[in-house]
Amino acid sequence: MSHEKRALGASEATARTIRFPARLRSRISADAERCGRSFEAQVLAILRRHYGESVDIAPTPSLILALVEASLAGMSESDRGLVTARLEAE
Amino acid sequence: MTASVVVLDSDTLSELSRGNARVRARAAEYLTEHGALTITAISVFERLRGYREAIRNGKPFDEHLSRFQALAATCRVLPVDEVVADHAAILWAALSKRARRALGDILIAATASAFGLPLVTRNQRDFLPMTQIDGVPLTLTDWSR
Repeated sequence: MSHEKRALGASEATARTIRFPARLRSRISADAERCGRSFEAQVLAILRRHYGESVDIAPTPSLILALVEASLAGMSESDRGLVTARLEAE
Repeated sequence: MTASVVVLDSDTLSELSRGNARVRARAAEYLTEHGALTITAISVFERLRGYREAIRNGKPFDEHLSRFQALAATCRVLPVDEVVADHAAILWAALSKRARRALGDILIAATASAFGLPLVTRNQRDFLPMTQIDGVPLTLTDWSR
C-alpha cells in the first residue's frame, strides 16, 4: 500500500514568484492606493475576483525559519526538553 | 539541482528550532526551492502536547504555542491514515520490544514511507533498522552533516 501521488497532489497550493514590468507595477500600485490596499493585497484581490479561487501570499523562507526558532526561543534547556519530548509507548 | 521533497522528523525540527546552523542552512536552501517544510502530524502532536502540558503546569508558553501553530500552518503536514497505519504495523511487528517503545518514530517513519518521501533525521541509530524491513521502503537523509 502506498499513496505517493497524493502526497504532492495537483490540488495542493504551489508558491510561485511573479515579476511585474515597471509600467504594470505602477498601474497596480495606483489602483492599490485608490482602494486602500497594499500592492500584494491588490494583486490577490484581482486574482480572486477574476478566477473566484482562494489565493494567498506564501511566507518567505526567512519568515518560516523565524517562526521555527521563535517556537522554542528563550526557554531553558529543561523546558525545551519537556516541550520537544518524543512520543513513547507507556 | 532540484532536490526531492523530504519529511523532517521531530528531532530535525527541534534542531532547527534550536538554531543549529548547519540544519538551518539546509532548511533555508530547501525552502527557497520548495516553499514549505514537510512534517508529519505526529511531530505536530508531539510539540503541541509539550506546550499544552507545560502551560497546564504554569509555564508561560502560550506565545510559543501560537508561533508553533503559525509555523505548522505554513507546513505541509502529512496525516496518519490507513496506509500509514499499515506501514506502522509492519514496522512495529518487525522491531524489537525495546525499539517498539519509540512509537512516535515508528509512526513518523511509516508516514515518510507511505508517502514515498525520504526522512530527514539525525537519529540514524533508531531509524536505520526501519530501513531494512520489507514492505516499508524508507530512506534516510541527515541535514546536520
